[in-house]
Amino acid sequence: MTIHLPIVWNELLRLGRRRITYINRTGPLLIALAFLSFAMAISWYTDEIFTPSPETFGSFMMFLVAIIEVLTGFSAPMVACATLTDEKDENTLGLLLMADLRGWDVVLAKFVSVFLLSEMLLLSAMPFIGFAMIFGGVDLHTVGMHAAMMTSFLIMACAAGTYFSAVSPQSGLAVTQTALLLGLWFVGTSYVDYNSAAWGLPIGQPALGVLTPIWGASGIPLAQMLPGVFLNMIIAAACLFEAVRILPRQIHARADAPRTAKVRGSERGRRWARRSSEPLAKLAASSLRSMGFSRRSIPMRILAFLGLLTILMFPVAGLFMLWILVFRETILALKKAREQGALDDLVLVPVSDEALGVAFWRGHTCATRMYFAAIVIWFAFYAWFMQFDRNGVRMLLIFLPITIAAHINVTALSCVAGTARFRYGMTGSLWAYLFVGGAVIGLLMPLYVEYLIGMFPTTRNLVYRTGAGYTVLAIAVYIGVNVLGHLASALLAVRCLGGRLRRCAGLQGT
Amino acid sequence: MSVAISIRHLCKKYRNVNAVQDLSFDVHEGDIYGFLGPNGAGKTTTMRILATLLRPDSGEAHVMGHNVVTHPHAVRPLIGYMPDSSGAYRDMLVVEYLEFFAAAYRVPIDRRRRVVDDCIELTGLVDKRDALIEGLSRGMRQRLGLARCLINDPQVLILDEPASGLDPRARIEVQEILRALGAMGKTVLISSHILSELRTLCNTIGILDGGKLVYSGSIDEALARARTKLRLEIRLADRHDEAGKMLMETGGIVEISVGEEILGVELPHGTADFSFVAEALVRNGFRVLTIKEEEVLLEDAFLHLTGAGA
Repeated sequence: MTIHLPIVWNELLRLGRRRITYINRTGPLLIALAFLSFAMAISWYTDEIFTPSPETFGSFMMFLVAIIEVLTGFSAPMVACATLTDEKDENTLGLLLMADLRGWDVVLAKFVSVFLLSEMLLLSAMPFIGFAMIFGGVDLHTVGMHAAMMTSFLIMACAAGTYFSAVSPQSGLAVTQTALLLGLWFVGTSYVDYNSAAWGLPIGQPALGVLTPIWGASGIPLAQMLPGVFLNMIIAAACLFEAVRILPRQIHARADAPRTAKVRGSERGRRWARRSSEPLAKLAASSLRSMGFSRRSIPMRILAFLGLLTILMFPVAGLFMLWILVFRETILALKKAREQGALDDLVLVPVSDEALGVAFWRGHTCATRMYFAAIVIWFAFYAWFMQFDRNGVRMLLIFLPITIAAHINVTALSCVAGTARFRYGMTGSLWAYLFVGGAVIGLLMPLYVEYLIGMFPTTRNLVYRTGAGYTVLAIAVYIGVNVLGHLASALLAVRCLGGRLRRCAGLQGT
Repeated sequence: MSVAISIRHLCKKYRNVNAVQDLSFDVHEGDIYGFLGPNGAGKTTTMRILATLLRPDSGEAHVMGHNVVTHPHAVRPLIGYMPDSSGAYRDMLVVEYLEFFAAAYRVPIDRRRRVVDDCIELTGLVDKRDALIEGLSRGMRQRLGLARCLINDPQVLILDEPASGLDPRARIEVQEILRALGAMGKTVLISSHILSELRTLCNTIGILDGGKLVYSGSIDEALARARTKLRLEIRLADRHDEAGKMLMETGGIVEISVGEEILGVELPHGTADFSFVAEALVRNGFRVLTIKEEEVLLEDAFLHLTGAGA
């Protein structure tokens, strides 16, 4: 078992040339800075003589660190998901294993390279940690605990990404599977109280409206963290062993795949796929097949089912996971259609731009329709869960429009963004990531503002003086802007999509 | 001459499709062996089995004496495999790509740069040395694939359609590289749809059809098998019609076709001496410009042996 350094070097070199790496590097930092700016602006607005205590400042800085960590914790395994699937896509995996390399050489080197990258991504959190330690009174022990837990999480997440990358025929499927596993981990460890104070609370507490000022790993005893770290190491080792075991088989399976591929009856029999008048029917059917859900193994189905059920029970994480799954599917379908030349065929169909846009949108809605049910289940769970919470009704009111609108918007927006740049599927991803990042911040911001309001006596007084006016106004504006924005972008997407598709292909609109 | 590739009773089935059925043939060291066959004949499957990327259902395949199924790790350093859709990391430079594979093949670091330079020079990629792979033309990518195949100095090269999709000039250049490799003593197993290029490149061919080997041997023998009749192309100064009638009356001729400039004469199969045709024409006062035996092409042999020309 060796780490084949040329592969590590090669992987880091290639990652360094990809735009997504720069997005991953700067995105979390920008989001944290946006959060900081917004919080400062609100603080200044609500209380001009705002002077936070060192404890509050340190706590807030560690919260920003947690944001960067959460985003890195999701983006790093997504990069890992592409490591081996890209090799399969580019037909280089066979060439690699034909060289004097064993499965361990390849898998371990890929894993190490992604882990190194993820650690590099975390460097953007260093200034906040520095501020927290210098001005916020956060001690080295807390930072050390935080770093140890984060590292163990990244090891687990990158190993999981590498494993699913080895198993899956496409990176999109690997991302979905990894996201489900991480969602399971996220919720599971929070419920059994491993790591919960470090992971669950920064996101979960503001969403739940609980005002316990615990950010980061402060206050967690070592004994509580060790089981979590141990669990991570076990999962990572299992993933890597399984990846090594399965990788050579994947080459043989891949060689067989084109000859043995079959269209399942359930896919062939879709009514919308059989309608020849539907210009998008073939593309949608192709997209559905290419996503590979029908080829998922039974353990994966169980994992997906459990993952969905579990993450849905966790309010914000569940919503976040759904977003990721939905827009990944959309972008994947677009990318596949573009690669297979299906888009070229589509733009030549003699229908109007609007009809083409609507058909395109419908097709991708079909591709992601399996999540509609999940959204309903999520909502039902959340409704049930919230009845025990004093803020339940208010939270439902906030989440209801966002949940429905988010799906429409993300799908439409991703379609537009993805098709606007024919050659780069990642442009669509970037748009979608930016949207989700913004939406999450937007979602948390009013709650965080409430948290700030609750923390500072002068602000509380201000709220008392104005009653609940500020809160109601903030939520109303937030919901209004979201709903209007979502609807406008969806309408715009449908209106522009057909013409944009044709212009991209160098054709005039009809 | 010892055997470089030996295949015995090889079978591979994809669900209900027999990709390869009871395939047996040998390729000797230093041979350039052309692998012919229509689409879906089993060429790529056979090559992938030899490259240790696919497991056969039954039968045996040996490369330089090593079994590809039981000892793949012994086979891999000995072969260079170029798949039909040659893979490459698009976001790497040519030199980086080759250096990476040199490292993967454990070429010692002090020799690595020299090996890469040699491969770049041999395949004519000197100008593209620092170019991004994504920006390479198809021809250049094929050359890069070839360069990668050579990075470990393999004894056996397995090339699946190396010239497909190339323009004529690039095809000729690839052929020249392959000839140079043949001159270096490498054993080359090459599949191609362009039969004319195999004619000039290979000394031995194998023809697959429906997963079965219908012919394996020299090109000349394949051509001889395809020659079912002798056809002459005669150019006269004038009076083609009269010459045609005269020859039919002479006898010993199966069929005559008269064109504006060419008089086609078909003789019975097995006719070795056709000088009587020239004698008859000269004796009757016809001015003969040229008499040429119609060439049997590899395409004819291919169609004949696969039964498609029947």
